[in-house]
Amino acid sequence: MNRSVRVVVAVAVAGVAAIATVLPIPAQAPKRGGVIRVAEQSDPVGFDTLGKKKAPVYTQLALAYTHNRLLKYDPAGEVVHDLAERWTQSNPTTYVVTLRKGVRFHNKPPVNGRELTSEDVKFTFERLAKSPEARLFPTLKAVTTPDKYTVRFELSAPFSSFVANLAATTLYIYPKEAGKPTADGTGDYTASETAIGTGPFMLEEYREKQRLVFKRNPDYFETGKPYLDGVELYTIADASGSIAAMRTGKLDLIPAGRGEGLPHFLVPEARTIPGARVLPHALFQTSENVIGRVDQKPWNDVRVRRAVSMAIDRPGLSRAMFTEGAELFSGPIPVTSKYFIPLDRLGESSTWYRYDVAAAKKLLADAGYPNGLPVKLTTTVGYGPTYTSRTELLKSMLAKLGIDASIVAQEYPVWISSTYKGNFEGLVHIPAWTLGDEDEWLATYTPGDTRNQLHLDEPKLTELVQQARSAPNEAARAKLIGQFASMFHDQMYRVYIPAPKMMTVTSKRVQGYVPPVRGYGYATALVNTWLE
Amino acid sequence: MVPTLLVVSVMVFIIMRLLPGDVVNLMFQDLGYAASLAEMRSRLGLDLPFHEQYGRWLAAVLRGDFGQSLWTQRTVLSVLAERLPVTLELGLLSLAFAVVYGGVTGVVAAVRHDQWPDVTLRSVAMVFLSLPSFWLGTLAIVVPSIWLGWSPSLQLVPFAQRPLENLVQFLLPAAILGSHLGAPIMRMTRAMMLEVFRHDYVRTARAKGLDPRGVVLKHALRNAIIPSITILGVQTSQAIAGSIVMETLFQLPGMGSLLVESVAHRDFPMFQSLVLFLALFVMGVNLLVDLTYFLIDPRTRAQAG
Repeated sequence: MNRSVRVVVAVAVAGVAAIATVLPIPAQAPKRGGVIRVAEQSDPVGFDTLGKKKAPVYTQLALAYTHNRLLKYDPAGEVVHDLAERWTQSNPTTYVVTLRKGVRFHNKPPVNGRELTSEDVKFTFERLAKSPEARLFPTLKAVTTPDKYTVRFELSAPFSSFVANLAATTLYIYPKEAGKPTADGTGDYTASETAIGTGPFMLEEYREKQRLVFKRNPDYFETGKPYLDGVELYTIADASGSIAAMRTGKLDLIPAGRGEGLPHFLVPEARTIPGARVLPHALFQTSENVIGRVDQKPWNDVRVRRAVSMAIDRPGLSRAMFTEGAELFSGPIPVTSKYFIPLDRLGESSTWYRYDVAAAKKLLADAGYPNGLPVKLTTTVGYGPTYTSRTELLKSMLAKLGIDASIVAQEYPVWISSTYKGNFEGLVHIPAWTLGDEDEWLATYTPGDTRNQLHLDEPKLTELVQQARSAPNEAARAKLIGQFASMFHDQMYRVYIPAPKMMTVTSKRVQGYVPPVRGYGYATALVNTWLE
Repeated sequence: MVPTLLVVSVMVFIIMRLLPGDVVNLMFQDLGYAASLAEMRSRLGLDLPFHEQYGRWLAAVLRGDFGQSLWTQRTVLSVLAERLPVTLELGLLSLAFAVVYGGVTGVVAAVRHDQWPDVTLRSVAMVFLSLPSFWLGTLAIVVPSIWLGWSPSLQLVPFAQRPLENLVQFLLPAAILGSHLGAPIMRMTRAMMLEVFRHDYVRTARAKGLDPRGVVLKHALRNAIIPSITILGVQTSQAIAGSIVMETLFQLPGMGSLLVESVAHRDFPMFQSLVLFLALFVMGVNLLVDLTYFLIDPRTRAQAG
């Protein structure tokens, strides 16, 4: 090859390469077929989210495969239509939901693929009223069905979370005939054979503590979806085992269904799996925090609360515990919420998030503790060793302030029945609330709410909560929630620590999976997922 | 055995009744096991006089009625029927591995006393004894997945359906657990063999020109192995404790993980039945150990006769 030919070839190759890098890569068309294999830490305890006892997270996760809600969260956490075609609010206390037509339950006995009607929604709300989930709609007065596809909700008082709570991942629509008969008529949906919904997948096999097998619902109302032929959901308690299984081609998805997802210290190992993708994302929850009782010393003094906050080296804690990244804080509004206020918009309150031990010591001295103070720091072993490691880090940071914290590590049942309910002394390292709508967490700061761990009784905050609950429109609500958050940050009722990124891992076969940021229902994302 | 079982049943029963009130509260309030405190107490049988509670419970157990799980609402027996075989298989295979490994290496180490096989085997036993089985288990999952492209099965392969695959599935966890359990057996076997080698009858057997293998296996081992068998009985409870970790790591749905879950969920009908069954299992193995003495040691037979 002579020199001129070589030059021409080189220029041509370079040109093609340049064009290839400039042109957008064509989006891959979804493919039908294939069975995705998913890891989950535990399996459901029964298949009823509206039973007499509060449904465990894993039951909610499982029902996201087989059932639908009236509304759901989109990948960004916004509320969108699911079984509901539309909804309207005729006055502050009346909502009318119109159902999609032609939606069919799974073709399994005794339901046999019959059409979903408004009576199913009414029946579901009758069940809800007798379950712990009744808290979702505190002012619900009546549910009526003017016709086959219309449901009318009457409230006794305005409730601004009404629409958002229709998307709660416990509010799945149940067909009446699928449940086992009970005396009160609400039916028992504990058994796996009762898991009959309108969802994208049908439960085919359930082996306790081993696996759930779902197959594609051919009559699903979203035409052509899901793309997958089925899902195999394996119960794998140990995260290292999940990574090993994905490495050897036995798993396709390790979702961040709850908590931290894949622990950050295991992420580097997951990155070494050929073709695997690690997807960091946020989850709709606030971060862990340090609290005390506002009606008791020392937490009743705002200077102590601010001092504790300023003694926490948040960037340092992030580097030590959350190697894959974290938000500086997430709370009292979740970082994924549209109402979240980032640090640079906090104004003067941002001062209390600065790491400044000297200033913190001065605040503590001003509060009457110039030599520090001894305090009990309660935690639990129930959330695993990484959680208690963070408690130890907090202890060491408090020690720099002069607070001698003695750690009390409680067994989970004791923790959940006492400390978590606000029965404690001293300080507590407590996890995030995992939240539905904003009203969920707003209500926990009002006197009389059983989840008011802080024993907070601040009339101004309570008033803001009540006003936000009955806000006439979205703008008014956002303003009220913003005022609440500003006051909360200024008073430092909860001292938030960094919120880790959630870690989802997919194998190279998985395409189109977008981890949801809100609710316990990643199965909704599998409707749009396909395998290469 | 019957008195021991009765004592165990009383202890299990008392533990149940020593529950502080707030735990009973928790069971109906947070876990939703009942609609009221009175119903919760009634479900647990706490509303009757103490002796009547025990009498009814024992009578029910003797009838094979172990009650219903509060958490899953399934009968305890149906859950046990699924879980018990897994733990029994893992436990028995681990003990079998421990016996073979501990026995063989103990004898070899004694025969090659203070030579390189002895030093090596003793060191390996010390490693197995020192390393926690959860660490070995994790290593046994992670390393082959990286270097060999192999990882354990994600679900239990039933023995009745595919016996060979089932055994292969249990081999690794049983070997890990067994190596931990076998290390003390190795050390005891070695020590006892060295002790027995110094006895006159062994020296006489050797002086008579008997086959050295026969002297070791027939004359010395039979006398040296009795303390090791005694250790095996004690190891049974350790095998059960170790199985909790192995079952979690290797996706084996057995009684170990069930025990942890039932404690976490305050599922006391399940918990007390499990403790009773596990006590029965440990006692059964110890009974077998006692019977083995008869087979191995003629002096025991003579004393009994």
